[in-house]
Amino acid sequence: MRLCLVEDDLAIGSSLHAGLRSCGFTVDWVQDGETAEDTLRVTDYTTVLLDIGLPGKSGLDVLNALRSRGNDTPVIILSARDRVADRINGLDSGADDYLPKPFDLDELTARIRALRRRRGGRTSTLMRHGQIVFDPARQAVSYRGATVSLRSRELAFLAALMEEPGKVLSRSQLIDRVYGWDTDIESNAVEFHIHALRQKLSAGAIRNMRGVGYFLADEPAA
Amino acid sequence: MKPRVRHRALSIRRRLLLWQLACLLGVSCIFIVSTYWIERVGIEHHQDLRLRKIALDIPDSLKPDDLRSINVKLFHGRDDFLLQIWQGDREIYRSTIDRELPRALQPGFGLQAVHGEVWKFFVRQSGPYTIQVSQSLDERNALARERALHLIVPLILLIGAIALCTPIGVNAGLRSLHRISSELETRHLDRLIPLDPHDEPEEILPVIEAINTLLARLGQAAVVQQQFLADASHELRTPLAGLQLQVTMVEQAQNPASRSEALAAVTASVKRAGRLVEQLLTTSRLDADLPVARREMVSLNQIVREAIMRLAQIAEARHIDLGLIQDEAAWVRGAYDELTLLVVNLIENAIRYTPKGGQIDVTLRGQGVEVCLVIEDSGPGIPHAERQRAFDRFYRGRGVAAAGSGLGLAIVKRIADRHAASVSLDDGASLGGLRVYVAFERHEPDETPPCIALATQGDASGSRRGIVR
Ligand SMILES: Nc1ncnc2c1ncn2[C@@H]1O[C@H](COP(=O)(O)OP(=O)(O)OP(=O)(O)O)[C@@H](O)[C@H]1O
Ligand SMILES: [Mg+2]
Repeated sequence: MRLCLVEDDLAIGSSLHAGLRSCGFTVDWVQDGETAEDTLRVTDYTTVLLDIGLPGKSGLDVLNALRSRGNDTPVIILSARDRVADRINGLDSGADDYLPKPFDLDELTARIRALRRRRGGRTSTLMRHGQIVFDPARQAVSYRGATVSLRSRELAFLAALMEEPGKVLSRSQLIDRVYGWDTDIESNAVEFHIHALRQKLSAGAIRNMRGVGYFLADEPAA
Repeated sequence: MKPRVRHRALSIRRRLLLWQLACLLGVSCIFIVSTYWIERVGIEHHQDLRLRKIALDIPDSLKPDDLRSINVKLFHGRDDFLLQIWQGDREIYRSTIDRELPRALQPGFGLQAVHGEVWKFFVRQSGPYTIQVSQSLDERNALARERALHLIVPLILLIGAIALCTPIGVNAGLRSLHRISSELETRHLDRLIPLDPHDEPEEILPVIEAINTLLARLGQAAVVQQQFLADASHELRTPLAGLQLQVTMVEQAQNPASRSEALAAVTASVKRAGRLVEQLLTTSRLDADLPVARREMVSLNQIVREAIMRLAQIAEARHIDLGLIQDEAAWVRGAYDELTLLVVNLIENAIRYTPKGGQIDVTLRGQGVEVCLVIEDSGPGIPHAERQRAFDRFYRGRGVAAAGSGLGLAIVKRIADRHAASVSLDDGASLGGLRVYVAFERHEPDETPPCIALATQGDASGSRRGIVR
């Protein structure tokens, strides 16, 4: 899951960046409103974590611009302004959640997952597709009832494919969702990790539509 | 709330009543006593005439037989005098039997005391007869007393009427106060509507006006206070949020290296939060005590030198050339600590926002009636449009990565205001960065303390970097 973190405070930003990455998220960190707007215009994120008090454009401006473009990426506001009026204002501007600072890293990740779940119309904390069960909280996967141990990149690819099961994701879309800016991507990275996933799950679990991209096979549930 | 208000109103009423009654009683007593004395003087004159008239009314051709008829005529008036007639040495007539006075020696008016009683008498010699008419002074006093005491009844009636009417009048007057107080009870910090002065008595209007002014000021203060509180809690939460996350990172650290890195971040955050708390406390302290605590003669030269020495190391570490280039004697009246804070904050800013290898020039000049402190740097400066906002609390420039809290310049402004000094920001002419200009009122020291010698020493040596290097 690729997150966009908009936060001007260095201490919060750097530790959130590191903390979220260690929880298996891909994080792009921007430090002011203008950059955030540019980034959100060109990149598709799973969730945006947005601070309000930013130098230059405020977080609310960024949010308004995002929503007025018709972009409905889930947005969680992270703000030290915690008056009820501030929360109402944030939520009414189109945010999906409002987390007052200071907060716990685990709470933030739980909320990110909950938001994803709600967006996908799921009630269970587990993501299922056919024989694959993915637990985002524990970053664990089981296939045909047996636990499969995956590396973090493999998990990220699988999570990206499970976001919208059955939808074909192009190579570049996959790269977008899995890699942040700060990683060098090898030319055959996608093929390499998909190959590894097929080996650990089953050869038919992930299909390739030649010239278009990858999608999860529609295997009947056990 | 209610009973206290009522009690206070009652006490005004009672106090007014007591004062009124006391005054009335006092005036009544004076009135009665003076009436007595005026009457007494009048009576003296009147009764003297009467005594004389009685004596003269007795015809010279008096026969002892006539005495009876005279009696009747005389006793027509009051029986408050004594008439005695002597023929030669023999007393032939006395108007009352139970009292008797010795015969006076000379004719005319006189006084004599008999058995402790003082008598006024008039004596007339008429042929063989000596006629003496006397009246006891007690009698006269009683007469005056009686007249004066007649005044008491109307006075008591008057006092009673006033005592009855006063509360009614006072109540009517106090009704306005009751209305004001019950209206004030409905006011609270987010509903400070001014009082309506309609139909109130003239005396109450200034009170209403004063209350309304106070309400307006209170309202403004409440807004400022709420804003400050919101800002302050926002600012305090930010480092706390950083800390909480950083502590999580320490817990999750996999190896000693990343662990100590995370711990260093925690330490930095704690320092920053500490500085913020310090700044907030300074701000609220400066807001709380209105006048400058101790206004003493202080030497800005000394303050600036000490500040520069204190900050020299930080400047050195950033390879910034910090120096005092002009150091004219600058005496101002104010609080030493606050002025130090002002200078330190300004130089600190210059150091913080000037890139490595920059230059900062500090100048102290006396210009006519002013003393000015100029701090100029070679940094990026503050854009023209933002200069006024730079003095706002929590204002931080755009794109400044430094971990300031935005209180420094607000504190500087506040201290300058408290010292009737002006602060302005403009473009530095020589270094190209920001130029902060603080103008104080100039004072001459009463006597020359020893530190003036030290203060001018830099000038004398002619060295530009006299302090830092
Ligand atoms: N000498 C300077 N050169 C350039 N910009 C400056 C200078 N001094 C102040 N500023 C700008 O003005 C802003 C407000 O300064 P201020 O001193 O009030 O706060 P701060 O330095 O950010 O925090 P602190 O409260 O820790 O001093 C700064 O954020 C900075 O952008
Ligand atoms: Mg500062």
